[in-house]
Amino acid sequence: MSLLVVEGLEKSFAGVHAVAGYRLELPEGAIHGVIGPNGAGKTTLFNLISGYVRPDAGRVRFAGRDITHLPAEARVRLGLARTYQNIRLFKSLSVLDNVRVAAQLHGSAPFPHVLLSTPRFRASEARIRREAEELLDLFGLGPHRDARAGSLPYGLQRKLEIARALAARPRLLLLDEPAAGMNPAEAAQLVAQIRSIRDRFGLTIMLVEHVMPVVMGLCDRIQVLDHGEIIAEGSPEAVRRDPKVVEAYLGTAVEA
Amino acid sequence: MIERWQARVRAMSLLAGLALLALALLGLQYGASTYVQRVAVDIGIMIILTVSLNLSNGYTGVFSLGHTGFMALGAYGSALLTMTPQVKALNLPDLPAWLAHVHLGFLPALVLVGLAAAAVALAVGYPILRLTGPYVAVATLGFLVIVHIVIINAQAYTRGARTFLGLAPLTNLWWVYGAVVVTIYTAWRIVNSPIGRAMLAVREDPVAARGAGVDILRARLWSFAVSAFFTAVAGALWAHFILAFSASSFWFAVTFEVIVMLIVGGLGSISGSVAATVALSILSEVLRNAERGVTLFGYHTPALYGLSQIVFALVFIAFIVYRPQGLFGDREFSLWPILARWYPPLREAVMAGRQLAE
Repeated sequence: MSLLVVEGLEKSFAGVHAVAGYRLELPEGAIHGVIGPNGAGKTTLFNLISGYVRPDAGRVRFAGRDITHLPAEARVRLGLARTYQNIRLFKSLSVLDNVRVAAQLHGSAPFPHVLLSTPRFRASEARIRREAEELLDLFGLGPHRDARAGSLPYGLQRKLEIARALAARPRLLLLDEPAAGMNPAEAAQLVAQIRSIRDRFGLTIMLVEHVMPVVMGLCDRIQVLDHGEIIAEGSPEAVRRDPKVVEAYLGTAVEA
Repeated sequence: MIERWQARVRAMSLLAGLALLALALLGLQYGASTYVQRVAVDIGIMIILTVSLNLSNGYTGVFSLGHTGFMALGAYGSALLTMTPQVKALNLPDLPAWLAHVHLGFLPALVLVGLAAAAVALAVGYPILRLTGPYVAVATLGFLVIVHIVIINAQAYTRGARTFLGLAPLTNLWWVYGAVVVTIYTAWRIVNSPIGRAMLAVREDPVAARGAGVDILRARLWSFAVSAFFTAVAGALWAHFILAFSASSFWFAVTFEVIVMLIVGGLGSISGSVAATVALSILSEVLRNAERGVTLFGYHTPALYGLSQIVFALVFIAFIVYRPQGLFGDREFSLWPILARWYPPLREAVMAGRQLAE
């Protein structure tokens, strides 16, 4: 069964099509890539799927449920988490608290228990802390847990963002340019890491990326967007050879 | 192991702190002049105002300029609940019958006005708290203006612009510092809980907070309502301490004073709020006395009325320019670093415990 089904998704800003006629059937466990030149509508697409932007037309179904009109925070609760192109951490909070904010999503004690610090409250806090620390350790962030998130080096901030998204226990993880700003060695490590978290957490992953080796090495299927429309779709090999893709990226060879 | 030990030390220092507070209050009650007692009561009320405002303005980033409205609600509301029917008949002859006959004890009155303020905060916050940044500040200021106008016009309940009086002097050191302890404890528990982390996340980055599953409006309403509760309690305590007040008592002067204390202490630091409130209250009290002119080492200074307010404002400006994060920033005062400096084995034990944990 498909985890995510998108049909006829449309969004215009001031009359310009940002996304037009977008469709997708994403099988469970897949790693799906979306590429395209700058301004192709990739980020708008992510905002539509994650619930930050309301579509003009079309439907989004997640795990058999119509989520087209659900706000972002409700989608996260259903298991649809994401990262952001320009890292968005809670900068002055500790690394641990960044992850705890998401880890507390599933079961925190009600207010009276908080106020009286009952055993139930302490048990839920211990559970939240344990889950958060496991994720930090997985990404090598354990030693930094008390540091402020904003003080981490860039690469670790990217990892912390993924750790925070995973703390929400998603079924589908949307990664918005996870390799941006990474050198080739770091990008290669990232590819391995994304695969391993997919296997470990049984995730389905959709990513937008500019770094071609990452997309080609990671994705089962790729869609190419240009001016908001899908211009090509298929396996990494097929997409790489598609003349329309070459044209969208490089422009036509001869222009009068 | 080390954590359990730390928890035990924390519990013990909490008890020690409460015992010290009780001793200090006993000392004030039996060994201090009425003047010092009144200053202490005033400081306690200001602590409640500052700490509760910190929940909304500091932790959640909802910069309210309208909290004085909740204070007014607490003052007038509690007075109407605690005054005897005879006094009400005399001072407020036009009061509706059901309210004219109400005569509650101080504690139920405090709780009721707190709950009423929280309810008003939810109702007002529901539309306002969707706004961000300066718009929230302006909208909450609008709330304060509305409260002010309502007070002036609801003559049957408030005597309008005239002085409201007839309250019993119910507030004393014990009531005030009891409320201080409850306020700080509640704020502390909230801040160190999922609710508090959601509030902080909303302050830091609303977009990412939504992405982590936080309902922004809900987190903001929580902090707004809880802080309104304690602000109203402080207003009720103040009313039963000052005993005569009017609509203009709940206007920009108090609003400004509390915000200065909040910012000097540090947005997002409870201990900072307490420290700044104590320090600035004592400073302004000393300056207020000096306004009349004092004799220092044989020199007599001339009378300088307004000195305390001017210095207060200058301190505020100096902080905004040179230390915008305030005394404590968003950190809390902690005994550990001090203890560790005095007693090196403790530091080594903590370090060793940390290494074991890793």
